[in-house]
Parts: sequence; C-alpha cells; structure tokens
Amino acid sequence: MLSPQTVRTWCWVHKWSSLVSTAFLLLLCVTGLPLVFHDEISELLGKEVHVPELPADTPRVSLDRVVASATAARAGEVVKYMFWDPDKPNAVTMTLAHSVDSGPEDHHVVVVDERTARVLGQPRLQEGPLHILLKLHMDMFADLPGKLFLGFMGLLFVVAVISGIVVYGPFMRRLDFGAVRTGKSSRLKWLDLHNLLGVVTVTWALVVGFTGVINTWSEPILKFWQFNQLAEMAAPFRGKPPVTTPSSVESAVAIARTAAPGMTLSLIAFPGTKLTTNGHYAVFMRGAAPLTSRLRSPLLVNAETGELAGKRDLPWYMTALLLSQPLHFGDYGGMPLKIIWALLDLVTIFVLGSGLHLWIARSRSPIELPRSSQTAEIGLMSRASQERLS
Amino acid sequence: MRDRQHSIKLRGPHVFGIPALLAVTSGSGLISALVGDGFWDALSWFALGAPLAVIACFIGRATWGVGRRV
Repeated sequence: MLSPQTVRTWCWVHKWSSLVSTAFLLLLCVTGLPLVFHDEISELLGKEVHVPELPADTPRVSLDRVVASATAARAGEVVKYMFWDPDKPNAVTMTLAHSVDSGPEDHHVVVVDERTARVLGQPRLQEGPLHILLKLHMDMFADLPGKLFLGFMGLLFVVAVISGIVVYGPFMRRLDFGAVRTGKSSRLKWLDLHNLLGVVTVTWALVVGFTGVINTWSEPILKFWQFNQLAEMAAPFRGKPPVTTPSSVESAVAIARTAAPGMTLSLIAFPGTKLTTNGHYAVFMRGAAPLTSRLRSPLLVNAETGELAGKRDLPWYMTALLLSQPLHFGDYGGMPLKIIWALLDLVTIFVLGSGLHLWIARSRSPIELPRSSQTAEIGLMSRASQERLS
Repeated sequence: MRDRQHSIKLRGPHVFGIPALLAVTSGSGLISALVGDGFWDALSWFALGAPLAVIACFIGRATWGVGRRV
C-alpha cells in the first residue's frame, strides 16, 4: 500500500505533467483525428493518382526509363527516392528535388507507371488542408525543434498516464469499477468519468503516445544509423560529393532481388540522400509475411561500379522506428481499426478536457474523495490526494 | 474495525482487476493486427473495441440510473 507521502508525490506528478502538456496534447488529438483517415480524405480531395487498368501480365519496363520519365517531367531536378506502395500496384512514387540533399520543402512527387514509363501524375502533397494538419501534428511548422518539442510533450503525456494509473488506486478504493456518481455534484461526475475513460484506455494511450514520441526522433535515429551501420560502407566516399551519374537503377534492383529472394521491393534511396551514403543506392526490401512486410532489409549497391556492397539487417532502433509508424497511425487493420482509433482518440480528448475542467473548477467545489475515515492514515491520504490534485 | 481493515486491503487487486484485464486485452489487440491479416485483424477490432464497449456500458448505466452508486 502506498504511503500518504507517496500518493501526494504521484498526485503532484500527475497534475503537473498533465497541465504542462494538455494544450499540446489537445492539438495533437484534434489534428490527429482526421489524419487517421488521411488516405481516404486524400482520395476524396482528388490527390490520389489513378493507375490505369492493363492486362495482368503486362511486363514492366526498365526502371532506368521510369527515372528518365520523371526527370523529363521535372527539368533540372534529380530523383531522391523511388517508392512502391503495396496498395498501389504498378505505380512508382518518386521524390525529386533540385539537389539530393535539399530539404522536404523542395520535394516534388512524380508518380510513374512502371509498365509504360508514363507519368501518371504529380500530386502536390505540400499544400492543402491535409498538409496543414500534418505539419501542425508533426512539428507545428517549426521543423526539427518543433518535432522534438512535441516529442517532449508526448513524454510528459506518458508520465501523466502512468501517474494517473498510480493515483487511480487511492481514488477508487471505496468505489466499484465504473461507478459514475451523478447525484451529488457535477464535479464528482466529471472525476468519475475522467477516471473511467482514462483507466480503460491506458494501453492504447501509452502505445500511441510513446510511438508518437519515437516518430519525433526519426531524424536523429536515421542520422545515428548512417554514422553507425552505414559508416563502414560510406568510408570510401567520405568527403566526396554524392555520385551524380549513378549506375543503372534497374541493374541495382536486379542485384538486390538476387541477394534477397522472396522479398518485395519497397524503396530505393539514391546516393547522397538521408537513407544511404554518398556512393550507394540503398535498396530496401520488405518481407512477404504480415509482420515482416512492416520491416525492411537494406541492400547497398555501389553506384559507381554497380556491385553489391552489402546486405544489412536493420538494427533494433530502426526496427522500433518502423514498427512505431503503424502503431501510431492505426492504419494496419482495415477501416474498422481506423474507426476504433478515431473513437479512442475522442475518448482521449475527453480525458484531457475533463482533467482540465477538474483543475479549473477546483476552487468552486472541492473534490469529495471517497470518504474513508476508518483509519487516520487513509483519511490523511485522501485529503492529501485531494489537495495535491486541486 | 478489524474486518474493515481487512476488506480495505482486499480492495487493492479489486480496484485494478478490470482495468488490468482491459489493458491486457487491448494490448493484444494492438499486436494481433500487426502479426497477421484476416482473422487477426478481426481479433484486434474486438480486443480494442472492448474498452469502448465498457465505456458505453457504464455511461449508459449512469445515464439511466441502473446500478448507480452514491
């Protein structure tokens, strides 16, 4: 059993971790709600590119032609990434920019049909309501500092949830699970609803909160991976500019496919981009099973000689980053899971709002905690908890 | 007095019983959709839907006055 002093401390932790982070958490929950349905909204807004129907056995053309189509469509730009979306067969989504090391504000997306090398569209992903929501949600338009700041707020949220679990015990000791006292004061009703909705969604809130925090660390994690796992292969190219006339992409992919049989092409990072070295293509292959399809194995192909430089298994921190994405977005179990995600998000908004309400209304009518004057100790604990939360 | 103290101590696991059960259920729901499709997706819908069903159930009870405690 917790001592009164311990309960007081946890109440203090719960109060302050919540108060500091609530405004930002409300922003994250409100912007996150429509983002759960990002793909569907994007489709409705006409942002999705339509892939024409062709006979199923239509062969695909060389990826070098696909690259040529994209660079022809955007003169003066170079390809940074090629991406294959499992939900969009035969479409290659490419990111182009004026230079391989330019930031996301310079990125342009070109979607090319891998069977005809025809440009299917250039969706403008850097504008529109979804982009605004995404920027607010990810970094509040403040780039890496904004991301890391929101990540810190996410950590405070995790602390608030954990301390909330701890203080739930003393608060509920005299009550049945799920009791909602509607009679006496509206404050007790708010408190009971806050406790009920908070405690039943603890796992989801912790997982979505913490995976969100991990996602805010994606840039430092990628940097660390480059310096750590890629450093050895990057050594011959260190200090040199990125290879500007790389060898054939098509043959790089052919080599990667031979080295990773049974795996599917997911992404190619061109030399000089954040996912590889200055001198290699990084070909990321995904597995075939549901779980391994979430993970990636990178194969490095020397972009000067066209030879396989190495196959690496991703280190644990990269695996954690990759798994944090579906667990944060809720996009891995069909539409019913997305709807559940949205409902749980609404519950979290209620928990945040009711917590704030309980704090704002604290002076008007103090919480009457479960009356427990049987022993001095428990009486003290309850009063202490009450004072600390008020 | 003795009996009461005894009953207070027994409340410990009781207070966290249902929340712990729901925490484990929703946790397995979060994982199941990740490891498989079809059946595993459906399992995750039920497991993650459980907390929502509990909320609906208890708010309904409070609203209609069934099982209300003061």
